[in-house]
Amino acid sequence: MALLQISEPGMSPEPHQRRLAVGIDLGTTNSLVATVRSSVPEVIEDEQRHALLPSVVSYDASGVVAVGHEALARAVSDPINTVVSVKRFMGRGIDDARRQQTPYEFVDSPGMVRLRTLAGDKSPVEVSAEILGVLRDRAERSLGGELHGAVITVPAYFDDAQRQATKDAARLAGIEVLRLLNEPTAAAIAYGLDSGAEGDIVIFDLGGGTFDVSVLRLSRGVFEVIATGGDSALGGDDFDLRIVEWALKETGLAHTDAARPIEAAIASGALSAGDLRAMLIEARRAKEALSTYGLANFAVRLSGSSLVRLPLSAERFETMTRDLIQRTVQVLKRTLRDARLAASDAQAVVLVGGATRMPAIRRAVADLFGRAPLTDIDPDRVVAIGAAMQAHLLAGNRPDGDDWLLLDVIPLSLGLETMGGLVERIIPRNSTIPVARAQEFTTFRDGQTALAIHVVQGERDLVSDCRSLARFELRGIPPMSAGAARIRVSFQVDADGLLSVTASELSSGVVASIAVRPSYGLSDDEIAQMLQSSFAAAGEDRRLRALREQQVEAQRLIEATQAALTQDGQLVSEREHVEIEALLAKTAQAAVSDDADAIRHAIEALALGTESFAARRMDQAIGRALSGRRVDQLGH
Amino acid sequence: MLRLFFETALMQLLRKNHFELMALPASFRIDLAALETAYRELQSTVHPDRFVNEPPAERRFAMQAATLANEAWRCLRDPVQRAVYLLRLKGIEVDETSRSGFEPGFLMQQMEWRETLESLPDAADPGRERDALTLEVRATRDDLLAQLERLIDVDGRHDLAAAPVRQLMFIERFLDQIDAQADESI
Repeated sequence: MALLQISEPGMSPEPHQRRLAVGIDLGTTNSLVATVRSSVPEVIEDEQRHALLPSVVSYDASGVVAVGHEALARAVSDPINTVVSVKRFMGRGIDDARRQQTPYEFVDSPGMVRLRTLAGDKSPVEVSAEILGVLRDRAERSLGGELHGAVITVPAYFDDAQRQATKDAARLAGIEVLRLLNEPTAAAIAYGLDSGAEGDIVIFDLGGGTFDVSVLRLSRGVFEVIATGGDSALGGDDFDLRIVEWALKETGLAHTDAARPIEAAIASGALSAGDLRAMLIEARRAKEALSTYGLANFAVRLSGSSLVRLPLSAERFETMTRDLIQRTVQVLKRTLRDARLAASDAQAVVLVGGATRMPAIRRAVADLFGRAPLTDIDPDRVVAIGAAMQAHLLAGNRPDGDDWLLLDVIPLSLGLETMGGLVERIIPRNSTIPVARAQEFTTFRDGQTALAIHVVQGERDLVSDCRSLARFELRGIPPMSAGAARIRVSFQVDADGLLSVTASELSSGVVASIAVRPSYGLSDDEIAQMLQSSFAAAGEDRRLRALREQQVEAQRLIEATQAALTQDGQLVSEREHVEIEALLAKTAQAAVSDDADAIRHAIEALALGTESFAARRMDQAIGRALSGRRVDQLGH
Repeated sequence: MLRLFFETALMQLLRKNHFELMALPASFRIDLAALETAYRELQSTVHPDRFVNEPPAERRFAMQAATLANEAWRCLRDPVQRAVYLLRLKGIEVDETSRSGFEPGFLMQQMEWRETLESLPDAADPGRERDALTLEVRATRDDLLAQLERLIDVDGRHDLAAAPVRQLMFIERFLDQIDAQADESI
């Protein structure tokens, strides 16, 4: 039990109880899985000793799905059915998807955009689940057992819809999500635990498709995120696109004045989808060569068998991407301001993400801070390593004395639409989670009996400039004159950064609430349907797996409750003790059956029956924490 | 019935005011280092991460307790919010939108500042003048904070504290506007 571990040293789980937990970095370009083995964090490699799994999924007409290197090899020959950088479409609608220059055929669908492939229309959630599934298999093979759960990282600047989509993908891949962890925070954990650093550190994380800046305060085992900023649509991919645009203009495949040269070249037939993918791959290679050698040759053979061959200098590349670098600096400055931190006061600046290998990025960061950023950690692996450390902790595997806590924030403000399409901010960005906030509203018409509630996320004042998360209605308000009703809307954001909203009319007690499954999220039915179709063949395995999970869960709960009774038995009355014992016996009985539903019901009954006991233990623990302080710390 | 016990225990925690929760005396001047220590200790105990493998009831409870700790910490570490909260404990609600009680002198000052801010983008050296304006506004803020400390902690005149608190609310918003303008000009 967590409370035992806090108050009593020497109660860490026995080795045989160790739960297999991993950290997964689900990246735009590459994905990784890492774990903590004998107290040492390590990235898990596949059988060919590859640590990085390219985040690429390729479908063919026979229904065979290739993931990773094999899929990447098909990206040029079959660009439409090979999905690259799917992370950029997570939780996004068709308009967002079309704004990005990709060869895919998009299908509009309620919820999230889908991609048309030979194997049918695929949601970005399904594509991501394929990647996660390969990583899960890799981890289970390497660790020799079933995963207890995973910490999956997301860009700090991901909004609610993108986070929900990531969670859905994990569910679809049969992974229990212990926590969604912000990528820069994961990097800070890896860096902080490794270096033992204290003070304010800045994480600058430029990945393949997303950009994050986080300022963290490290002090005595607490990682406290002070501020987070970023751009969830800016990454290394954008630098590659600039090279391709430049090459198209240089070779005359697109007019030098074309505002969108890629679209122009495709529209004119000068460029096929396969050519575009080949050029993007070559652009990435050239960009990487520039970082190492300062000079590169951009060379691609197009499908019409003409050869594009251009020398590219570092100066030229930096000129064409100057505005992208400028955008990162702007976000960096704003985030430092949010954190009320002067650049000179930062203890350290850590670079994360493959795109930070670009010398121009390193120079820009060094200029702002007046010192060179830290680059001695592998920018590709640090996020997965940090996630593995958090997973280790959350799984309850943490050894004594190795105790730390993470306090994270929400990256974007949450609010409601009010009259005139304006946003009323309820929870400001950079609030430490979990957080709850309530605000009162009233009706504006006489006799109004319903109130529409529109939840939005973003920093702008107009609803149309923010992301819509959910709409629901509070009905059954008793008719009153305008302005007489008192409607309280409460927002609660949990430790994963996910939101639920409740509205109630205070005089009548009418309540409506919604766990925000954003307009872009998937319904439980959709998830169930996807699970069914993707695992139809393995249906029986799934059923058995679900049953075994329930059995394990029941056993765990029984042990936890028994341990709590042993430790804090004085907190329950004799009658409660008898009741809890009865529930325990029922759960134990159900656990040996093969009826997953019966087990679940028993678990729920036991959980409900021990709620008040749990509450009293919590109260006692809080009391201890407060009374344990020395008198000289109580103010002045 | 069991449900009711659970609610009761939670209510007991919720009944603690922010100062009690952080074991601090209810005064305007507080030991910020002690607040940080108390907050970290409290979160180390109640944070949901400590309860990931616990039954759902304890997890829910942990979330509510951690939420409360965050709220108390957020409120107490900010002097203006702290003052508003202290006045609320004395039954005085500070109405942010009300202008009554603004001295004519402060109203004049406020208008002058606004004009300066609006003319900044056209100034010869906007960055420097912006910094000068920020310093001036911050000096006024510090005076008001000192005034509040005297009124609340020394004189016990909470009733007179609402006016300076409202002025401080205006100043905080104005400082944000200066920052926002600086952001736009990057």
